[in-house]
Amino acid sequence: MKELQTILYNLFLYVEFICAIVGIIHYKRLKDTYWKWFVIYVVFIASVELINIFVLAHFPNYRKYYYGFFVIPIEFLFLYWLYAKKSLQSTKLYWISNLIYIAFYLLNLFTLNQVRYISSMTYTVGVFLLSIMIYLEFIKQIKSDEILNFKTNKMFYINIAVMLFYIGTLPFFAYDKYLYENMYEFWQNYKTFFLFSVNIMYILFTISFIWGKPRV
Amino acid sequence: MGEAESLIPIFLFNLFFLLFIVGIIVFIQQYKLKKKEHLAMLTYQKEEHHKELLENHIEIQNQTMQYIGREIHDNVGQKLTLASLYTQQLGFENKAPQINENIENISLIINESLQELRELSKSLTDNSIASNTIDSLILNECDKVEKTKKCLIHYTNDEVKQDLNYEQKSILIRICQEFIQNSLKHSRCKNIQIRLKQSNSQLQFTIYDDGTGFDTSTKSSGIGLQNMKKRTLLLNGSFDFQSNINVGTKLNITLPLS
Repeated sequence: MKELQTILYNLFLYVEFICAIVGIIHYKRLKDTYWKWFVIYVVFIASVELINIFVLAHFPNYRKYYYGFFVIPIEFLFLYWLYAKKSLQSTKLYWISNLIYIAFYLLNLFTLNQVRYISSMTYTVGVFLLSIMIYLEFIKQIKSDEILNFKTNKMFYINIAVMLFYIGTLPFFAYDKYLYENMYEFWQNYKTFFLFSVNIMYILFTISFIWGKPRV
Repeated sequence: MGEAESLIPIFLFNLFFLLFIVGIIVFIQQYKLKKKEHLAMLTYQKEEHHKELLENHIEIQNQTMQYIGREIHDNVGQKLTLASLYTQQLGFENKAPQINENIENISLIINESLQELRELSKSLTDNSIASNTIDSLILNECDKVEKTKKCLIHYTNDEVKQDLNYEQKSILIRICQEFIQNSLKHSRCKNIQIRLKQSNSQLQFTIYDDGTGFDTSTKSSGIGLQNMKKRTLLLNGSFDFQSNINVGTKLNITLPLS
C-alpha cells in the first residue's frame, strides 16, 4: 500500500508540474481571457508544492497550518470565483459563498484548531458551497446546446476533476483524524484514493488546456 | 466532535455522490438527445438547401430558355423573314431567269428554317411543363418519335391519377427526352417502351429500349443522365439504370407523391 502511495505521490508531483508547464505553454492563447488566471492558479499550486517539498520538509509541524490556513482557502476562493463569477456569472452567489466560507475560516483561525470540529467543518462548508456550484454548472452544461461541444469545453473537464477530487475526498478530510486513529487501514485506502483522484484532477486540468477552447 | 456534527459530512457526501451519479446519467442522456436533434436539424437544413438550389437551377434554366426563345423569334426570325422577302422579290422581278429555280430553292429552305425556328421559339417560351400533365407531356414526346419513323414507341399509363409538381414533371420529361435521344442516336433500337405506374404514394416511371445496349462498367451513361440522377435523388427519388449488350437499356425511376 505504502509503495503504491509513494508511486502515486511522485506521479502527482510530475503531473502537477506538467499541468503548470502545459498551462504556461497555452498562456499566450489565453492571455486575453479570464482563463489566464487559471494558468496562474495551476502555476501557483505547483509553486506551493515546491515550497512544501523544499521548505516545509524542515518544519513538518507547520504543514497543517500551511495547507489549512493558506493553500486550501485560496483554492476554494479561486474556484468560487471561476465557477460563480465567471462560468455561472452570478455575482450574488460569488459573494454569498465567499462570506460564508470566510466566516468559517476566521472562526477556525481564531480558535486555531482548539475546537476540533471547526477545522473539519470549515472544509465541509467549503466543499458544500463548491458542490452547489458544481451542480449548477452541471445543469448549465446539460441545458445548453454547448453540451454538443463538451469535448472543447474547459469547464467540463474542470467540473469533473473538481467533483471527483473535492466531493470524493470530503469524508477523508472531514474525518481525517477520526479515521486515522480508529480505522487506520480504511484511512490508508482512502489516502490511496485521495492520491489517485488528485492525479486525475491535474490530468483533467492539463487536458482542459490542450483540448479546451476558451469561451469568453 | 458531536454526534450530529459528525454525521453532516457523511450525509453531504452521500447526497453529492448520488447527485453525481444522477448528473452523469442525465448528462449522457441529454447529450444523446441533443446530438440527435442537432443531426436531424442539419439533415433538414441540407435538404432545404438542396431544394432551394434545385428551384434556382430550374428557374435559371427557364429564364435562359425563354430568353433564347425570344431572341430567336425577335432577332434571327425577323432577319430570316427579311431574307425570305428579298429572295421572293428577286424571283418575282425575274432579272435572272436562269437562276429562278435556285432562288426558289433558297426561298423554300429559308421558309422551312423560319418555320422550324418559330416552332423552336414557341417550345422554348411556352412553359408547357407547367401547363400540361405528365401524361400529355410524355404523349407529346411519343408523337415526336413517331414522326422520325426511326422506331416504334409504346406508352402505357397504369392509373396515374395524381399529377406531379413542377420539379418532378420537369425532371421526368427531361430524363425521358434524354433517354429517347440516346436510344435514337446510339442504340439502333426498334422499340421504345414507356410505362407510368402509381403504387401507394409513389410514382414509377420505366423506360426501356431493345437496342444494342452497352457495358455500364466501361462506359458511363452520359453527363445528361448523370445530372438527372442527381436531381432525382434530390427529390428523394430512386434512380436505377441498367444496360446489357444486345439486350437493351432500361431506366427505372421512383418518385414520392406528395
